[in-house]
Amino acid sequence: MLLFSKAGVWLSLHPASIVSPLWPASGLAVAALLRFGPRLATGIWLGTLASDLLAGDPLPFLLLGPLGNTLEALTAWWLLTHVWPIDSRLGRARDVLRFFVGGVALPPLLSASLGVSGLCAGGVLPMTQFAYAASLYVVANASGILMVAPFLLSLRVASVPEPEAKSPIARYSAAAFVPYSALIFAILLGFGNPRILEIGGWPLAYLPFPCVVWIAFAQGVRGAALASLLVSLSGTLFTLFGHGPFAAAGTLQSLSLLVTYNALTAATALLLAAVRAELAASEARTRDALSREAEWQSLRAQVQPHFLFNALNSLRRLIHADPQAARVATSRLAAFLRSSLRANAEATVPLRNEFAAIENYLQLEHLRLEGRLRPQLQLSPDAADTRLPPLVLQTLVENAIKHGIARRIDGGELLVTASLIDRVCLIRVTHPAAPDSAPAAEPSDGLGLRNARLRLRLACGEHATIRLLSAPPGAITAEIIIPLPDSQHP
Amino acid sequence: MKVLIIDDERLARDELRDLLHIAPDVEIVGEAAHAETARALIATTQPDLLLLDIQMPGPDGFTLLATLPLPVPAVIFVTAHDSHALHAFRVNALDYLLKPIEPDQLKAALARVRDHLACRHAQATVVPPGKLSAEDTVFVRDGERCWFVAIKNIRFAECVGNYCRLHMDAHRPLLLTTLDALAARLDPRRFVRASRSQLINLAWVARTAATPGGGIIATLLDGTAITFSRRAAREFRQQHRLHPHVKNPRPL
Repeated sequence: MLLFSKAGVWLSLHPASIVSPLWPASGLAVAALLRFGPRLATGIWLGTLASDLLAGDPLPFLLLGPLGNTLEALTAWWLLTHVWPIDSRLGRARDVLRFFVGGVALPPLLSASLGVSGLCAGGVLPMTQFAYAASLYVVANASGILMVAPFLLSLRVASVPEPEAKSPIARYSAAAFVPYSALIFAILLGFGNPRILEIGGWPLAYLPFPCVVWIAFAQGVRGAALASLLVSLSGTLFTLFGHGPFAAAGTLQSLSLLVTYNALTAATALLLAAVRAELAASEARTRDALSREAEWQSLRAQVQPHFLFNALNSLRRLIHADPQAARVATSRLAAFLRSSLRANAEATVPLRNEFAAIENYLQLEHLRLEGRLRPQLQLSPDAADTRLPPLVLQTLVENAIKHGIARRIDGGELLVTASLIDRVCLIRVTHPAAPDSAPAAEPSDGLGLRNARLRLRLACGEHATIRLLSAPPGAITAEIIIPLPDSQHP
Repeated sequence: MKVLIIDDERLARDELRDLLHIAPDVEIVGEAAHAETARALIATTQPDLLLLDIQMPGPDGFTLLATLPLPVPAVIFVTAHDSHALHAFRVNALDYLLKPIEPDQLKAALARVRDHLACRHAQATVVPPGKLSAEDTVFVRDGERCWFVAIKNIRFAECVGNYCRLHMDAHRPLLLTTLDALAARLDPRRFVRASRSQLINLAWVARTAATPGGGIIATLLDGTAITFSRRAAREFRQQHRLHPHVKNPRPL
């Protein structure tokens, strides 16, 4: 901290006047406290003291100056954590506004009164100059905080949702190179050497503004903080060395012009970036809510309420009659619900997973149908890795039970086979036809089958399909046909 | 109260039997796994109440009810899911329970059945033995919709082939019984034939008028006018000892 503070102090600029017009160390101190907490206050005091010692300041100032700087940072920290608490990532417009008031505007008043009192008491400054020097002091510290603190705080900004690099603006600036070089060009043109063009008095200093806005939009809080730091820092440097539109007037006037300019730049950039980040965050929340809604919808569509409540009813009985079976059934039900939930996360799954899920499902149905459900599963090993959309096979098995086996008083055999023939995966679900086997499937199941067919075609190509056959005699067979792509075969 | 449990799942039947211990007056007279067994058990045990699962292999619960001889016992439906069919039915159901069943709801449903049965028993004493009372119900089905209809709510019934159409409330459901069979079960003091194809509930008649040629036109409370055939008019007059020339006789 000592080193950092020293470095900050060395950065500070000493023109002819007693009080520096820019005090970056204040920004460093405020950022450090906001980031790491008040335990660094001692470090700030030591750092400032060391730099003042090196500068050979008088004793009263050595007492009051470092104290003022430390109290300033502490005040900012207290205001921004206790009075108007902010998220130090400055990702919301509210945070930025609070930072302006509680971090930038108020705390320097304290350090200025203490620091300038020290200078006057040390005899460096006549009392008549008190007000003038104090206002300079305030402006210097405020500028330092405004320029440096957001940039330092933004270095850990990664977790604030940045605008995604999909908007047209962001695409062109994918390499940050373009907007930043534009910015630097604008700064050079605005402050650098307009005398060549003989337009010295023109307000060219506002040329960097569009670039700052661009960067704030495209790159979020971090970009905005960096851009406004670049603009303020170079603007200050140019003005100090007599360049640019603000350099012409006297010290106080050029300083107030510069400060207004810097404050405007920083406020615009930070607020824009914060609003943009807020927008992105709310978009992300909406997307998140929508995807959860879709997940729930799909669960409701996939888990037949009849199945679920029948399973729960069986469980209620088993808890009393056969606790061990009840425990097994509970785990199976949990596994079934979980696989149904997971189903919409993946476009396709290996057939072996689907067979495992089916087995689970059949065991649960067996609880209520008992001997009426006689399942046989045959998965040939060469077909086990075929990929298909989740729950397509389950839809067929559900239909087989609902419209075939559960409607027969003596139930029946449910045969599920999968094999690979001539690079075509054939999955068959066969069940005896219901006694009153008019093809009067309820509309909802027709929909289930249509959905399954559509999902299969989308995932496995246009030749993948599902056929319903009245074969073998007295039975119904649903057949999934998936031609394998040739590329899979060496 | 004699209760018959009808459900195709053994675990569900066991669970229901266990739950029924909460009601000491309940006597479980049998269990059936599907409609055919149930029909036979209903005939032999004459239960007061059916606890009936709607989805069963073979004929479902609604079909069973629609084809039972009259009067239909009181029914509490038991189902796993509040399906569309049940929703359509709910308006008029005596009661239904969702699986897994909550004991309190079962208790409340049984209490309502007790009230209903008490009411039926009270009415049964005012009708001739073997006849349906005003509080007795028939079960009717019309496509997706089903009703329990109290006899007193039937305004009149019409013969439609082997079935009869019941005119009640705003609906015209079909009862899977011939008009003759229905008429045979009804109290002749309350229900009279207006013709071979029409049966009127006298409680719904607002006024009657004689027509030239010895006929009668009965106007019901809802405004429907029903013309008696000459033969039916004659029988009606004999039965109610009405003079053929009396104007606007008011029966009952």
